[in-house]
Amino acid sequence: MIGIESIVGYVPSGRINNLERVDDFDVDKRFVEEKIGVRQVAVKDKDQENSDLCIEAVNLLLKTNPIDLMEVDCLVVCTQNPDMKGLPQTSAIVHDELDLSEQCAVFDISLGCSGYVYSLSVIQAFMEANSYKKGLLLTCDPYSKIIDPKDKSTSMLFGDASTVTLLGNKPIWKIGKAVFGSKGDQWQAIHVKGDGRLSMHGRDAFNFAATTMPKNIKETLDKNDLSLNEIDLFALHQGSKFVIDILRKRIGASEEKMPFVAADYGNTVSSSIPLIVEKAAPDVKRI
Amino acid sequence: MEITVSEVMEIVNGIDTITNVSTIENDTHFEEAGLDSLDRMNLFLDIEERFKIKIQDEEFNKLNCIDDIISYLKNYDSNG
Repeated sequence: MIGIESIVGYVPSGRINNLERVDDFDVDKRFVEEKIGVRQVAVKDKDQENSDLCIEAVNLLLKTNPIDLMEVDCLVVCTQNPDMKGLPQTSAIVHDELDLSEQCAVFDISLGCSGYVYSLSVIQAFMEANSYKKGLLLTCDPYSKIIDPKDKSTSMLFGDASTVTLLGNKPIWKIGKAVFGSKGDQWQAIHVKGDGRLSMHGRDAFNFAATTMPKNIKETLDKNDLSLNEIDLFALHQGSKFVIDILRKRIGASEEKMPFVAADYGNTVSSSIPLIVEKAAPDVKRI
Repeated sequence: MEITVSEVMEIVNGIDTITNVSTIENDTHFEEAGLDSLDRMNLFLDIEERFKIKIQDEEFNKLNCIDDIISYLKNYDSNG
């Protein structure tokens, strides 16, 4: 069975300190620390491309998991901010830079906050369908490429990062059944405008998270014959501290089991969940 | 729609931001009472769920105190 053998994250060293921008955005420090929850956002170097961040994550993975890259059967990059506007796909550029085998399949997946869960399911099915033994799933969505620095609701929230998940048949975590869904009519809640800048409708995004995620968590538990108490860690997308606080209250979980951990780098989109799981202690069995 | 001050106060109290609801007058602006923009989102989501209504953005921005909410809900059939 294909599962997760390792997860490694790369957070660029660059930071923008939100506490130094409270006057610019007419907010107080309490709001930054207790509501947004992001003291500083991670930001890549301007000349770093998406593929460069992916390579950084893979290099970190190789330090702890010295795999033979020639044995990688497939590589998937989940992003909505690819190199060169997505042509070629970023996974092809990463394939070239890592000098992977010509037999290694590569493709990108265009998804944001939900990207990690979707991509895990896709790559697991793809590997099992084709009898692959080693796969790399990369998440990397550097929103600094599209954020309007004057927009409070996004520039104080989103940070840059990348992660790599090594998948194979000797997993430390098996992948359970997931619940998926879509509300296509709400696409305007978060989208890129004609000027290339990110636009987020905070109230719609909040309402979606606060109402849909508790239902999805319950459905996921039911689908896997599990109860709330049997879960060791709820690795939820780190939308903001406020969103996680509300979800914790609505779901009835403790802060220890449903943490907000993005205070020092921000909402890293599809990288936010693997960054939590990476830090999970070895005794965290069910996530 | 029938609605009482105590019902609205109960919802406001439930969002865990204002420590002492009894000190809030019905016409106290939410900002003065300590609610920030995110608390307002949470409050109005609770109201939408409790009364099974949808508060449009243009109305959301106008509802700034308990009295506003009561008036809005009482007239919801014509507003909504």
